[in-house]
Amino acid sequence: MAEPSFREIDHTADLGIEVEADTPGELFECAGRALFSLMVQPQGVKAREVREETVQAEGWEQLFHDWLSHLLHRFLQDGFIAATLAILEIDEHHIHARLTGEKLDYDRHEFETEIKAVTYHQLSVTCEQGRWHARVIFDV
Amino acid sequence: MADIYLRQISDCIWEIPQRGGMRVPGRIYATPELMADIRKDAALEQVANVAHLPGIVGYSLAMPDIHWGYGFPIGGVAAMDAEEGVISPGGVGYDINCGVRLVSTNLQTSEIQAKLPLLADALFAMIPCGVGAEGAIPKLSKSEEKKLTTDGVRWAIANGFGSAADAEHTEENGCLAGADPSALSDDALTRGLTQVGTLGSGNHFLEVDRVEEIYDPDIAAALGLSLGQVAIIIHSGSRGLGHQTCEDALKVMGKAMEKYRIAVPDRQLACAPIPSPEGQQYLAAMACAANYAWVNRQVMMSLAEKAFLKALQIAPRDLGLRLIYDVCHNIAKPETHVVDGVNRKVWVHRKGATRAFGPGHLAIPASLRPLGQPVLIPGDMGRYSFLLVGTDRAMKETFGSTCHGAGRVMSRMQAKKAGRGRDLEEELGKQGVIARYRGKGTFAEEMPYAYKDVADVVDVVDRAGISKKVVKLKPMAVIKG
Repeated sequence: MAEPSFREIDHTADLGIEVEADTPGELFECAGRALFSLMVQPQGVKAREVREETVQAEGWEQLFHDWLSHLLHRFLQDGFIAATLAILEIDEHHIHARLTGEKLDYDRHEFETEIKAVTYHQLSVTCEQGRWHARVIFDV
Repeated sequence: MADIYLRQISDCIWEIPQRGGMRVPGRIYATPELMADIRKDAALEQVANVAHLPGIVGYSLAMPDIHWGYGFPIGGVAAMDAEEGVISPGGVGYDINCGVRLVSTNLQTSEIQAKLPLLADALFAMIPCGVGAEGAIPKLSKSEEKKLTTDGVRWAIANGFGSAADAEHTEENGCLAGADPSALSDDALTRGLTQVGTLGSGNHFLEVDRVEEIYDPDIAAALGLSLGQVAIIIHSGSRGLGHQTCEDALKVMGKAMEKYRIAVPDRQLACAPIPSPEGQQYLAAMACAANYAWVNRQVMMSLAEKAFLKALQIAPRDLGLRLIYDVCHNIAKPETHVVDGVNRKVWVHRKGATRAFGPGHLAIPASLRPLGQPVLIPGDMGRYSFLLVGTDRAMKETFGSTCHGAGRVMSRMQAKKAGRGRDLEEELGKQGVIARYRGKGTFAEEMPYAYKDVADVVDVVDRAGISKKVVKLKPMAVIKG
């Protein structure tokens, strides 16, 4: 067992993440956390509201893409940043999660980078020898 | 990708010879110095990948600001036969009709210099920017939003934002034909509802500039531009509505590729035949997003006018706001071009590239037609931007296209790291630029040192003759999200 972890892919014109974890739930949770941390510094984000989110898709890659897109839309639309993400259910076709967090406040939060979209470019979700890996590039 | 074989055609043109599944060769406009940079990432491979797309004609082209994108390179131009070709949402990009407009005023720099901080404050207060900022039109209904996406700039003008002359000075008169809001998803409409007249974040900006140098006095005079004159540049796009439209289309195209048995080297190149229902649906939605973007820039121009009037306490007549031209640099357009000596109807994808039609083209408004189409190439927020015009040579070589901007030299993380412990506002102040911004991180990412010198890019297109330098503009105040 190893802790889930993510690494930023820092390319001149782009931004992405590589995530690894022991289970799909940890993978999706870690990727969600990584996405928010690229946009807003996580310190000081408070759990002022609770949201339950469900995303459905066909297959792990599409689900991974749609999950991150869904979180991104919550941020771009309502300014919602997650403080915690708990994956309640997950399989290859759906994810159900409980998020706590709050709305972006430029006075209190350190806004980092605007991510416009989650791309399919070099998107991958794989499982090798029991360890889950994912890679995704964002449109910034 | 250092292993892509390149043949140098002239001092500014390089060719990737046709090989494997490529249907046409690739051509890149760059100096040897820029090419050394371009070779550092996979952008050239992406030029070759685009050449695989069905129905591509001429060359898979790239402008000197080419860099690695998703599927298509940024700075890529590809023309597809209107009957046999494909349309690829990735060849347009997420921010459909991201673009820039140049607006002139009657003011001289000396008249506003002392009031610049006040003016920057007024612009920052008037123009909604940053994440979650709500637009200038608070109670827009979805039915009105749909009308806006079909009418484009006309809608903005009818609702009190700007004047009729503005439409004429916008590509396609600010309304791309074929827009059908029933092709938009409800998500796209919802995301667009509150964002009309908002700048966004990232590399988008609104700038107050002065004309710093004139290269072609006749064309500058014909455009009403003189040294020291104050101008405004607005860079933004179709916001959430455009992004969602691209996302929706990529899903549809993924399935369409199986249906039409199209194989491409990268999933982000997903496409569908232009005449297919999937292709037509995307084009109808893309036109809506393009029109939304034009309305967005038109509304912000109008808000900027209000800010100027308020900060400077002058009358509209004294300000004399006049749109020089508005260009898009993420779009696909139906155009007719000569290919192998024959007129062909094509859809030209320009992803991070600008239309640059030559003198006499009927798409240019009559008053500007003899000059060639004005093309605005924004640089970073410290150095300068350029106004150019399109040329006959662009019509012959690049489907009437040119570059779109500077391109980054540092990643966002590197730029932020480089900015730590420094007073970036003060540094920009030393370059003569006052900045107002929402996000510190974004501001650091966008510092001039993070970008290539746009003059190097513009010099290539000028030297290659695919557009012609007219004027250099120097920023004095910048508003960012």
